[in-house]
Amino acid sequence: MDNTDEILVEFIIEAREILDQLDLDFVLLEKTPDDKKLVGNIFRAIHTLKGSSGFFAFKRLEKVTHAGETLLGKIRDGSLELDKQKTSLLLVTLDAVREIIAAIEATNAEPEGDNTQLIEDLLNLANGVALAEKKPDEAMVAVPPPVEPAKEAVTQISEAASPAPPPPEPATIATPSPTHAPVVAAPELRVEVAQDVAQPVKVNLDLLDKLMNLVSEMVLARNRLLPFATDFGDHHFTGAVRTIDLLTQELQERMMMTRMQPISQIWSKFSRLIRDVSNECGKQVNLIQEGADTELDRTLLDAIRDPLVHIIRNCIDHGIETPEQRTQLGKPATGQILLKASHENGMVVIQIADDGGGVDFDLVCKKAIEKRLLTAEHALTLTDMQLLEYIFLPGFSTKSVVTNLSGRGVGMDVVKTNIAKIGGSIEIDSPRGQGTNICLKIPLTLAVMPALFVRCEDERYAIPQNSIVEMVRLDLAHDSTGLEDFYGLPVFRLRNKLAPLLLLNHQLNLSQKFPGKDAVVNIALLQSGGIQFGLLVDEVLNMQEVVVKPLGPLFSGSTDFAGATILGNGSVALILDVAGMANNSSLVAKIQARPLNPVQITVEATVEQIPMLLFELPGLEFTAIPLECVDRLESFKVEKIQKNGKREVVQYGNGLMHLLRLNEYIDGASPMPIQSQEPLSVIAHYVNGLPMGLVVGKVHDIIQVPKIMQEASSQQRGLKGCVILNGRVINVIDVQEILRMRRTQDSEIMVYPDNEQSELAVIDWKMVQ
Amino acid sequence: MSNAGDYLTFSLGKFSFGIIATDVLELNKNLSVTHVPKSPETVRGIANLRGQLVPAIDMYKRLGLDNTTGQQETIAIILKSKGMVVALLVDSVGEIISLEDDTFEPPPPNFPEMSRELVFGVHKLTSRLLLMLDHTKIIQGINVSKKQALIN
Repeated sequence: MDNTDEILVEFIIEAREILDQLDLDFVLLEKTPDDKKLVGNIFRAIHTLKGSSGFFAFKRLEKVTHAGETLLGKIRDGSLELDKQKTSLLLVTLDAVREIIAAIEATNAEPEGDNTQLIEDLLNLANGVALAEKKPDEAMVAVPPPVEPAKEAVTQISEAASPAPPPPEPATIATPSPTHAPVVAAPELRVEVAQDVAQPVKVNLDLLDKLMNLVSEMVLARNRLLPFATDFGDHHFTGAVRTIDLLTQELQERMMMTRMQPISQIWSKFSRLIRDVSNECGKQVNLIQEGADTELDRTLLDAIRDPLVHIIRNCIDHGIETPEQRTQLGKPATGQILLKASHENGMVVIQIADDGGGVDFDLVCKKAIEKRLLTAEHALTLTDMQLLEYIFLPGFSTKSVVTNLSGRGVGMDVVKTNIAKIGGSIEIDSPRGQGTNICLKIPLTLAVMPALFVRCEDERYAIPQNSIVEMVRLDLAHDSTGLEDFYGLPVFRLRNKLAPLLLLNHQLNLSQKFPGKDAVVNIALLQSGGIQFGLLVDEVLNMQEVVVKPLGPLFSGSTDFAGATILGNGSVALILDVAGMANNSSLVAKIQARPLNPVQITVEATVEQIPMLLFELPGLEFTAIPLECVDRLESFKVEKIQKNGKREVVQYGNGLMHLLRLNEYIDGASPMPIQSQEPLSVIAHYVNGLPMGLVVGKVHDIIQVPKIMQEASSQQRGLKGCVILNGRVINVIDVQEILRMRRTQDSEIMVYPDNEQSELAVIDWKMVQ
Repeated sequence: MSNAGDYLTFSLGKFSFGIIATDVLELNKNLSVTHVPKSPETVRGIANLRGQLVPAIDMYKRLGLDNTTGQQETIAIILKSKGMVVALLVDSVGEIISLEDDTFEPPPPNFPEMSRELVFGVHKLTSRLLLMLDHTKIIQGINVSKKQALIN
């Protein structure tokens, strides 16, 4: 065979796309067997495959596709009707084709063997002969999948998929290449193809990555150029630099978009998955997809595919009950799985909810005791929420029998680590008996992420922001306890809780220095895989968006670094791998062996508390704001404040932040000293994606306050209520009301219109809950 | 392997080396290298080559030589070896010379072992001896030395 590799690779890619689309089409077709257009699509796709395999002289593939085409041809003509058996057999055919293609990809040649039985069955069906009951895939046919309720899901899918062009689809339609036999298609389909204007182009991923790389470099080069423009003072030069600046920015934005793909790309496979798994378990499941056009980075899409598959399998296998059980419980016989994706605060939130039985807490508890993960007495004190944590432990499975679906115990912990690897988080909510609601939060893109730069010895290191909980500055001389030793592990006290400590210089073998008794140390409190630990660094520098680059094979042995980034001045800074460091330094093992705060957990469980940030306002010494409303703390010099109409603004990142002087909105607060030259402390709070700076007097600390608070007795303007903590009265501000007051003023002076009232109210409702 | 061809010459202390010129991408004088803690000893760190991160190899350490000059290397040879771009830190770079087979000799048996792994022979030039380096071995050897470090 003289097939050049390149053509073969193209054939394989094309075949894959066709197969993926066919999976989807078949499941659709099962629900709407009369859809002639769909049958036509499938027929043509199979025909294309057949044509290509003939071209490459893949005889086995050609025979299988030919037999499939014969059956499909009859169905298309209307001389045969599509039923369960035919659909299943056609799906088996697809799987056979997929196997052959995989083998071709691996070896560049067709695998040995034939599919005589399959071909015979296909032809028999095509000739109107019903098959005997000996088929191995009969099990799949045995349980009738839900035809009626699933209609809804079908429309949902097609609705969701249509606005965003799903790449496989146009590719399937547009594939007839010169080598193929002329495509037999219904005339109305031709018209549709002609209308398809924006044809996607296949581009090599490596090329895209290289382009991305070059663009990031160009951004850095532009950054180096910018200072010259201001120094030179030559108008033409400044103008040219401006143009380059704008172009680079646009280029970068567009480049980022090429990496973004709709999530429907991976969801499209789930219809088939759910059909197969639910048939296998003898359950009826209906899939609803929302927000399928939500876009996220291609590499992230790859990373979440397996976790999602796992969660969905879990939903069907563990969550949703059999139709009989469901009828008994008064639920509809068909279970529902909701997949929902949306953007939220620069993250993509993927929700997977089912209406099944939820997590079996008693079983989790029993298994945890069996596996000696907790004692029976301790188990009684745990809440459902705390029991959920055990699901994420490695090797934990509630299934006593291992099936090919689940029960191997490599489940949720793998999901969690995979999600954590890409900087995401996972939350489970499972009210008893009411189904499970799993929420994945993942960053939009891996390519750029915010990171905190710290110094250790002479080098700078970047810590990914998503693993930072808070920054602590500890004055060892004045702190009553300082650094302590807990079974060989340095620890420090943070709000009466022990937190383990890693010394970055020790961890990286840079030096053996240990902070002295009277040193002031900087600690970054980091979170990794359920463990919080402090990382002691020499100096905290700045926050910056970084482009993550892999370190390359020579450093593959390093578990301390997640990659490196190139700074504006062209030098390289290493990015710390928080999870890797925690594992590397026996910290995880030590903590698992001796829990640091065992008593604390039970105490917390009894009184529900919410974290708040304690600060001062002139006239009100102890004021607090729910921590959820605090996105960042900033400090601005007075000179930085500028005016936008009547409003005070400061430059913040690439945009503006409006300032809101809290004392003007709260009863009992006195005016700020106007002439003060002290920098302003500002709490940045994002409203609809825009930063609003709440100006406060002085920021103190994070405190835990009981959820139930005293209502403000007689309506106090700007205050939600107060709590008593350690004998002090702490006023909790009402962010919602303050923002409402502000908006009322704004609409009077027409700065920006008041349009997001309802959404805001929802946000605030969540905050105060 | 034929030992004739175009070679780039460079020096480390009092030694002269030759490396096949066709795989050399560029010479770079101002490569700033960031140290990577806990990396193999022969790797000085990582450097930014126009947006690409390249490992910088400490050639003194890699060849088991002592740096007696008391000075930092001044120049980096950027080359592609087995699909990977690396920077070799050396004292200075000389001319590119064409060499014929007749001046070539395999390494003498009393050659130190660490260098033997990389040096596949010697070209006897009129003024000096040129030690011929097999650059593909430079990177392979690093993986080995890392494994050794793990065992120790």
